[in-house]
Amino acid sequence: MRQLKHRPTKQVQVRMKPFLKFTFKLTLALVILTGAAFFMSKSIDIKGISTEQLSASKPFFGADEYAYEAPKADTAESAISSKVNWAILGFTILMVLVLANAFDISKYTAKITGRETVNQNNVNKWTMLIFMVVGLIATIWEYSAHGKLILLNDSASAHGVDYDSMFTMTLIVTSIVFFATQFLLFWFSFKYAHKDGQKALYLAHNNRLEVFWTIIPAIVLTLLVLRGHQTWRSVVYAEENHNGKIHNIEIFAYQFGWKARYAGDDGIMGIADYKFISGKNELGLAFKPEVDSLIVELKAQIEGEKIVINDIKSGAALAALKSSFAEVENLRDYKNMESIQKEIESLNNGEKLDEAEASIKRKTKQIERILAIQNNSKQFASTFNGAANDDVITQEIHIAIDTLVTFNFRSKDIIHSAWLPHMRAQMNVVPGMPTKFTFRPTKTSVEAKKEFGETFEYYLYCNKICGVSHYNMKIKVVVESQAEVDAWLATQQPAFIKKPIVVPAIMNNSDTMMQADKTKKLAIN
Amino acid sequence: MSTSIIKDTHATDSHAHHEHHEPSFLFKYVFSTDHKMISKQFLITGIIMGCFGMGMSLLFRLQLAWPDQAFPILETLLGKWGKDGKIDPNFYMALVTIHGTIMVFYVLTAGLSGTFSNLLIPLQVGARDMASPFMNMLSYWFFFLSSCVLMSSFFAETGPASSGWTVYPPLSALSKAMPGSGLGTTLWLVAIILFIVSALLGGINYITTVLNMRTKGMTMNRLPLTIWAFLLTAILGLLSFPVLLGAGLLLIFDRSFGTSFYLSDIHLNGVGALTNSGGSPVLYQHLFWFLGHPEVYIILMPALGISSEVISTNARKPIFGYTAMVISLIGISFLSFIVWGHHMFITGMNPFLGTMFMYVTLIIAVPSAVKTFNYLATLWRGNIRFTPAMMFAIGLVSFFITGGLTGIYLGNAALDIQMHDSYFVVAHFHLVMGSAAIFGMFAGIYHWFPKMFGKMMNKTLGNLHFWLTFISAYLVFFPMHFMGLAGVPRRYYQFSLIPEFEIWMNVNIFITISAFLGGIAQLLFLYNFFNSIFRGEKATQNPWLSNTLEWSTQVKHIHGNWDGDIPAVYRGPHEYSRPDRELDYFPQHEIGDGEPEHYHAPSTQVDTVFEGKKEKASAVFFSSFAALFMKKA
Amino acid sequence: MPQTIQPQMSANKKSIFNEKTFIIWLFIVASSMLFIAFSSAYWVHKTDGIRNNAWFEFELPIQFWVSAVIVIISSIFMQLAYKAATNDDVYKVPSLLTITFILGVSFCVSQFYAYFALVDMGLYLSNKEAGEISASFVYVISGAHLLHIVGGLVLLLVAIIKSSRLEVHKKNLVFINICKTYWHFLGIVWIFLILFLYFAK
Repeated sequence: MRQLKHRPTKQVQVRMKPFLKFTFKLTLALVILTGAAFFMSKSIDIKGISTEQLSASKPFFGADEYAYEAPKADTAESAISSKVNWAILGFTILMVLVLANAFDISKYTAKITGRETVNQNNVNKWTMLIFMVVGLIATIWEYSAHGKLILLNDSASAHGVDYDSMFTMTLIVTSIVFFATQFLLFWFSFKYAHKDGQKALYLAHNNRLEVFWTIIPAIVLTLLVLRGHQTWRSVVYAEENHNGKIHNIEIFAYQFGWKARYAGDDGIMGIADYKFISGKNELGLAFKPEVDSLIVELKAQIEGEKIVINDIKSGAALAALKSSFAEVENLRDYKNMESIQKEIESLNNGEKLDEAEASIKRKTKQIERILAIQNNSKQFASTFNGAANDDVITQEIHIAIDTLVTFNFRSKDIIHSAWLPHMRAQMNVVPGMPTKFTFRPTKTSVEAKKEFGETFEYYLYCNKICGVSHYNMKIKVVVESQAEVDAWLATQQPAFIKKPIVVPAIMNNSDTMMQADKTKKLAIN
Repeated sequence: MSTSIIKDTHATDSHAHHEHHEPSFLFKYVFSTDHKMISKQFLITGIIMGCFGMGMSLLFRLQLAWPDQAFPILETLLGKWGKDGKIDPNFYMALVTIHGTIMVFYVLTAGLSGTFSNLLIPLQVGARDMASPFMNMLSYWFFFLSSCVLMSSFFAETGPASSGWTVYPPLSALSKAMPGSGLGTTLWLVAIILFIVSALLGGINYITTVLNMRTKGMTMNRLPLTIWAFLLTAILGLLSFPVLLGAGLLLIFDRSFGTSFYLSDIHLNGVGALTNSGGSPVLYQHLFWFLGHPEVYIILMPALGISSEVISTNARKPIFGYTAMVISLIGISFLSFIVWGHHMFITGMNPFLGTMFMYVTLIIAVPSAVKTFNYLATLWRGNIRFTPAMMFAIGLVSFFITGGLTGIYLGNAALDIQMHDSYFVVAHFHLVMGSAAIFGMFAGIYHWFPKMFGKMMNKTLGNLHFWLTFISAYLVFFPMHFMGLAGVPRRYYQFSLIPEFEIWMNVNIFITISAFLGGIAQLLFLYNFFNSIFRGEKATQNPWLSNTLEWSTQVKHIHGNWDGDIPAVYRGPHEYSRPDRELDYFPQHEIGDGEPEHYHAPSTQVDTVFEGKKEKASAVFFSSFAALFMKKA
Repeated sequence: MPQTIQPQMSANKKSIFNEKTFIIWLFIVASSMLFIAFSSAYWVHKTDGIRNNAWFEFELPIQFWVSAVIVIISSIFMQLAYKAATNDDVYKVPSLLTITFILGVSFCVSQFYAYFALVDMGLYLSNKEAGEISASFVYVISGAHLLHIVGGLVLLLVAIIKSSRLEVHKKNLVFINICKTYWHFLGIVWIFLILFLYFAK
């Protein structure tokens, strides 16, 4: 047997040199460790790291979503001084070096005694078994503890029930395979670990067995995939397969927020175009007066850029910057000096000029394109048909329970993804490519609150990396009865044609009245 | 083992020739064309990049666990990106992006497949070197340059690329959409293009070497599974990297030359309506994932190959179902080209296409399952030696099972609607492709360290490294499944702004602590690795009593690998514990009883100049025009 | 110069699956994938564009067709050079390769004239209208091919030098084989591209 070269068992004979070397190293390590620990205990005063400190003050729907404000850390109270951080870093590295030496005891003992004292193979074998037992118990604990928190069997949409049952089915199948194979893996590792005199079984292949475990997964997967096929089709073709009324809502995504658009009184969603987007017309609705004023505005901006270009070319801009630089230089205002220096640089290397010229080109093109639509009578008629005038743009999405609703997604700038975890609904929002998702909500917000707690709200999150405030790009979704949706919608102002708020008859019911009040408040917030 | 080398009467003096002149330091260690040195270069660069990648992950884990806590050390480390001890959200995105890029391309593609393909292909098929050693050297230096360019983007004023490692346009195409999409993304694209060049140069070399330069008797069905894996990996790379190159080029044109392949109908804050029109952002995703999915297998397959080899050697058993293993590798490679759409189920692509992609995706699970069961069958009734390499290989199988099973959820279009881009996805790919592949890499390092450096790594530290890494990887990634299922989206800078995610705060802290545990374990590895290079125990020629050809070379590296002739091969690579032999291994190159000896034809040398004539080149050149009108001389 | 290192390789393998030749075949596979990627991207854009009524059709400038003719002729000369080498007619090889090289250069020139023609038509790389992506694609695709041609010209140049040193003959066909394979590949790619761009406009 030449498998594992155990040193032949000899009489235990202590060798001095490695022993001294080892003792020296260990002592050195201990001294360093103690010293480091002493130093740390002197200098660290770590307060408990607070996790509760959520920035509750930050509103969920900031008034100005464009401006990102970095959450300020409470430096005075909970900050740990930089020195100590370095100390921790150094300490960690030291720890590792010490560990590295100390855990190598077996090598030294082997050297000292002249034979292997620890049979690592056995250690690992038993650790495998312990890991298996502990790991499987931990997994089961995880299933029960965190498994409670996952979204399962609490779907708030019709197709979600399908999804949940499918998920459960996959979960059962995969869990069985998981436990079985992991058990076998570690059990075999334990059972068939090397023993002296043991020889492995020479078994190169077994066709019957291999065919068996090719076919079984194939069958199971076919079942899963067929089920998935059904569910997938029922979700993506929900609109086509439905004959009744579908509630259409446009969901508009931008960096970093969402807007919803309802058709308004006429029930027709007007045309919207990214070219029409302006400060007052955030969604770019085809509303003639607003588009006209956009053209005027663009023309004014072009004139402004032309002046800038003239200034740059004549050198006036540079002169102005230089004089203001001299001014702040006198004040020793270094921050401003730096920023002005940068501006001068961008002037000198032509960046400013390029930017202004590009801006003129862009705006001219935009005007050209808008005019192309306006001058083409056919396109003009279909675009500016007045349908957009009374469209309602809202800061919240209200949808009616048990009616099929289609979210038509439109992006202003880049790809976002609209995700409603509780509805099991997700769809990417791609600029230049309309997408949509149809589903039927089955649980009102009030019901959901009973289930998930008083503060619970449905939210639609952004789930595709989209920039700095990606993590805070969300919109509240409220599911309620059709009447409540109508009531809420009535309180919302149309985008352009203003109308007085009419309280519908249904509002006589005091319960709904309160609900409406609440919603109104939220809307204002 | 000395008996195994076939004594060839035609002992060529050409071998002696190149031993005479020892190359200078520069050409021995830096611009080396020797595959063993290049493999070391790949490995060490990969490890360094891995440290960066790991460090970045620790940084953003810190942010996720304690979003409201200031760590002044961050300001010291990161400067303006860590103002007041908090990571800037833009920088967080950059960390996520560069972490992904480094891990996927630089560590697990170049560091894993680059290292071991280079080391093992010539050694295991029995070749003196790669088909084109020069191209091989270029491959490394392109990779090195690419790493430098990527890391240099941290010094860009606007920060590195930060639109995710997939750099989807329009976000990555518009410098006004996020700061990282400025110079950072330009550098990212340059780095990736250099990387593609490196990968292609390497891949072409690997394929050629495996197909053309096998030694006598090394038929395709006697190739070690490592070589099969490397071969198929290289083929995948060869077919898919050019597509990424195309995608990248179009993106560069969009970014810098005003085209609109990917851009359309965009109104950007602070800029206004862009002129770009008619492009399709989804096109980029198609092109990207056409690489991106095979890339997953480019990462994973070498790891699977390594683990097959390691498990077979250390279980002292032939790998169960060699043919099935090869066929499943081929099956996985083929299928990986037609499943890319499962990354895009919810991009709004045609639902019918979604169905097709779902079918082929779930078919991939079958060869993967076969591989898993074959691993288990190999362990069954083995005689397992727990070397660190073996432990990592077992860890790989464990991760492969866990991560592979969650793939069944994600490959299912209906389930993907909910799980897409959630933490479930993070858990899935970190287990199946991140941890599993890294474990394959570790297994390879521990197993072939004696071959690479002629020293042994410390076993105790190896075991400790394994257990710490294994446990911490599970602790980090397993809870993420549940976070994802509870609706936590990935790539969020902090979760404290959304009340619903508050319950996961503790879990986030737990994950971060585990991640730091894992990080410390890697320090153990680094110590072990570099310490062993210089102060490790001297290795014997065949420390693991292995069958494959690389262990028939001597411990000290020589140019040309074998001192005498290249040994011929007589049997498959996994003949362990044969009942008819006393020893439990049977090297490929050892002649069995009654087997005929392979004979090496002596290599002939061809004079390169026609009939040995000595003529002035310019004279030949000019006279050749006259020769056109003459009959053959 | 007898090759001394790696006695295992090269030289005595005459088939096209000599390692060096194999490398160029693999390179061909890789760059084919690039062109396949480009042409499928073009196709996707075209179907998208036609659906949205935004696809600009234009006649390819005649220069592109001239280039195609040039590339065919140059391939013929390349083949002649190869034939001469296989027949050990070594004194003809340099001139034939030079003619191929000159034709290659004129291909590049012709391509540039084609770009000028496109510019005259008002079609630039950067497009202003949705449909003009077709023009962008023509620039990008032919540009990628042009880069390949430049690589081929470098190879040819090396081959000319080698053949002038009488290093290209029946027993040493490896390099000219590589050149021939690559050059024919470039010709075929251009013929494919121009037909593709013509029929899929």
